[in-house]
Amino acid sequence: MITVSHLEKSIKTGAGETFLLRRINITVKPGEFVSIMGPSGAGKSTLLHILGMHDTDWRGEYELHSQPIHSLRQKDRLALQKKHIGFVFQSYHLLDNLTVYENLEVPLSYRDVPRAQRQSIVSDVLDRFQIVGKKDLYPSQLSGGQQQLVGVARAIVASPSLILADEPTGNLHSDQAKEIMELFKKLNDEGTTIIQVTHSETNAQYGNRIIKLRDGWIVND
Amino acid sequence: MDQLAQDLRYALRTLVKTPGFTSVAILTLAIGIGANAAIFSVVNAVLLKPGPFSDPDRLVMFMNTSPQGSGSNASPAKYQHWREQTSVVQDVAAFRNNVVNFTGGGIPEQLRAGEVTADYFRLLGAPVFRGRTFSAEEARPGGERVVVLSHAFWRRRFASDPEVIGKTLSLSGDPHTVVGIIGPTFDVGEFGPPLDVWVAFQLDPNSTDQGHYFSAAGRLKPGVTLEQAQAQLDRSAGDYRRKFPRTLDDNESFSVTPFQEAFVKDVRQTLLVLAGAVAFVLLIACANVANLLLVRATGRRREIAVRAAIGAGRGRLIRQLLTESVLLSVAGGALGLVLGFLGIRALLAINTAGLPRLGRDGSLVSMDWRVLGFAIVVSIGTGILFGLIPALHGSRTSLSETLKESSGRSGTGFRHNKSRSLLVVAEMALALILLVGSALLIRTSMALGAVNPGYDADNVLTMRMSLSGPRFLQSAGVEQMVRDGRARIEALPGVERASATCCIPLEGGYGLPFNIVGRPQGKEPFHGGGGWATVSPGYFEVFRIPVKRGRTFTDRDVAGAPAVVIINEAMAKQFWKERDPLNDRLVIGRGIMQEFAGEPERQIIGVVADSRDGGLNRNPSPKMFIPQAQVPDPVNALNVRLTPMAWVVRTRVPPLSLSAAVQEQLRQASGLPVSEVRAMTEVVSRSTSRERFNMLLMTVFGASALLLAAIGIYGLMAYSVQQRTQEIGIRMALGAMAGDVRNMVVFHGMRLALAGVVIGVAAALALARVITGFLYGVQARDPGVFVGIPILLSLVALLAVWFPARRASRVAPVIALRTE
Repeated sequence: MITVSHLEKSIKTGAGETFLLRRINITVKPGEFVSIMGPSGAGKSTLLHILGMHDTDWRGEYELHSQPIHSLRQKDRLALQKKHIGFVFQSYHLLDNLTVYENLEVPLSYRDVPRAQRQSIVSDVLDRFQIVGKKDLYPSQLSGGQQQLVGVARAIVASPSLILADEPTGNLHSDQAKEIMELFKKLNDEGTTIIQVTHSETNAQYGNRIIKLRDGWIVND
Repeated sequence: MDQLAQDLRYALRTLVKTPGFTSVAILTLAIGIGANAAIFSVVNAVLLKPGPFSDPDRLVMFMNTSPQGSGSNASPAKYQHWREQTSVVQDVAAFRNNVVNFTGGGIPEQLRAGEVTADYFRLLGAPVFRGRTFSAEEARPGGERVVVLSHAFWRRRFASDPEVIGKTLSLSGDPHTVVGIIGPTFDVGEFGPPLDVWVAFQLDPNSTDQGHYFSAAGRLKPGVTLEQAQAQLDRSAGDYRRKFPRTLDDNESFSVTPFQEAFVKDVRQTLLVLAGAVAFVLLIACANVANLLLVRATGRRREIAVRAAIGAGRGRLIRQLLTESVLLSVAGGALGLVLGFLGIRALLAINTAGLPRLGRDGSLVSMDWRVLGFAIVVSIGTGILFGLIPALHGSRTSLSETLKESSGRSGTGFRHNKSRSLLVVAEMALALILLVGSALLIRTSMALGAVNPGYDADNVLTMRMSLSGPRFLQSAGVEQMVRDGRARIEALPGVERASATCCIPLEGGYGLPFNIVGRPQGKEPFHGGGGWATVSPGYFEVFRIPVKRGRTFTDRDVAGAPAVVIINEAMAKQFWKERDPLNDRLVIGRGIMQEFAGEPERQIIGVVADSRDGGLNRNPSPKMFIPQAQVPDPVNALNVRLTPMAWVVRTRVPPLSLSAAVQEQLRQASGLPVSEVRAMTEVVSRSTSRERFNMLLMTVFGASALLLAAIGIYGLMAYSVQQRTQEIGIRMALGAMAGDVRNMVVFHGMRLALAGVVIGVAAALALARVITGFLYGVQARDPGVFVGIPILLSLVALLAVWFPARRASRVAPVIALRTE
């Protein structure tokens, strides 16, 4: 599904440059559950945002579903991103002025899904995540765990083949974290490829592969 | 549509959740859009709205052109000449406004009458409600005297009596048969006072009369363009010169202009300048709201990044942000439209500035589809204009930087305020331009108020009387009535002096050519020309116009006594220079019109001081005064037909307090009603109404601009201080004193303000010539204004910057250093 070759990212610092990622080579197969680990500043989130196409300032090669992202125009990248990728954030990043229902609907709206179909899909997802009763609430009215649940639901509402999760349980207590990781496991069992950034060994155990980064290098895969 | 509905719903919710920001933005936009809509409603009424005539685009007014300009006054000879241009025009009609006395059948009343030829009603498409209009025979000299009533007059005075057709009305002493009633939709009130009746203008088709005292209009023939008609008129001027030698100079000609244009051409520039000025106010409002949105965009970076991360393209994000800004501007526009319309109607109720087509007290200024359309277009355009920069700015968020959890210190400092800074600089520049304009107009108004008009307008009562009846066709009849009237009025307690004249200062008058007896004749038929007025004894005393040489008129200057004339100083200087005019005699107007054929040689008996009769902002021009009692009968008959006589009374008490008493004495002396009873100070005030109107509007614009610009710079500095709280804390921890911090903020703010002031001064200097025509007594690049206004604006900016600066200097370092 994903092939990354000689991926590098650096930023200019004074007269020289500082590398955030060095010669990253990764291949991820469909259905894998990959955990990216490493100390702070290793480049984990940087790599994840590059894979999620939030960051366009990098060198190397990146293919997603055999599409050469590195040589695509921004418009085409965005199209692929919308089609294949869902993103889960550590701080949930729900839209505060939208209800739960509307937070789930927005990604579908951005994908030009007709209104009737959007209603149907969102209803299904609400039901699947057992949050129907909360559909009219605003994020501020939810607990952290509930917000992240909605964040995960938003990430899968458009049925992406790949979920990228950046420290998805970082702001949750252990019970909530377990609930979220169980959910990821279930999604993975259903065929969704998952790549997560995590500090937690416990969370990493839910996956079937660990990639370790240090100072921008892959030190273990 | 579905996405638009989504964006609208979300935009509305977002705005409702931030009532402070929303109300400030809407109010700011209401000021900008409202002011523009208000001015546009006036522009619409004056310049854009088609006249209430059928096929108004084909109506043209005949004009005389010369190097000095053009005018629509016509003579009987020219009117006949224009009627003969049948290859390009048809339905040529002559018309003028007059007053007639309606006596009999109740209270005597002065009516506004249109004196018109037979083609007038067909030309303007006047709908006939009952009866008919004039026939060609009735519009010739000697034809039967008939009258057509307006619908409003028929309703008011005859209670809509259907039997009024065929009845006889006494108008100015002559019986007139009612032949028709014009429909209620025919309203020429926007081109002059609303008319009560129309009487036939009985012009002699063979007249060679060169007196100009009415106007002429026609309709372009089918298929003929304005340019073609123009060319034909121009060619025909040669024929006219051959037929009437020495009446049309080689550099004078004829032209046609669209009918509506003839009434509004003198005010077009005024309105366009005001429209331009008010557009500046809107731009400043836009800059202010754009600044507010930029601040909001900074706070919404996370939201924008999340939306982009979950699939929103940049275009979609821009559209969403623009939806919010357009929603704001539409709300502001709706509020502004209502406020602006009410405001302009209130202003016009006080002062219509003499603008044509506004109706009484601005009643014809309406909110029609053009005004609504303008408001909608401006609202949406404004929303896009002020929303675009924040939308482009906000949608350009770096996703990875914004979404990463380890964002570190913000440390944005001043770099991210560049757009806002530029907007504030622009606001200051625009505000300066407007303030310079308003300062120049205030100076103009002050200069006009300080002008010595050459007469004393205080404690002078004026009123008009239309001299109708065969008694007043002879000069002696007028003289007798005036003598009787003067005596009665001067016997009233509180009256100092009374007089009668054809022409009150500042309200128009006659102009005639003259020859100086004994002076060699040049190539021109006359030695010169000047203003001409008939006055009874006491006129100069009423207005306290000093006599510089010789004497004024007395009761001995009557018909049969030696004919005399008084001239003003301007005429003496121009035509006699160092010589003494009291040695000379004048022959006035002989040869220009048949009525002046018997004009005698008049001895110049006096030179009076100059007075500004043509306008306070116009230098006095040559003028001649002849005694009422010595006006030749034919001239008198023409005079009473053309213009109501004016009574002028100097009082020792407030003049209007004697109005009723004076009117009663005049009724006893003449049996005639009077109208337009006013104090002379009101006449003077009306003559400068347009200058005051311009000044008032520009002052409102300038003050609004100043307030908005001050708010803009205050907002920028307050936000900047908030952003730099940590930096300030660090500086103070490193040893900076409160004064150092305060000065740092003030320097930052004033640098922007002064940049705006400098740009504004340069722009105002460049634009100065646009406003030159509006000024009096002050240069367009007046040094006082161009120094004073920048200082004022800088002081206001300093005040606006001071408060955030003081707040910054009170930051506690320990709190600031904890701020994230």
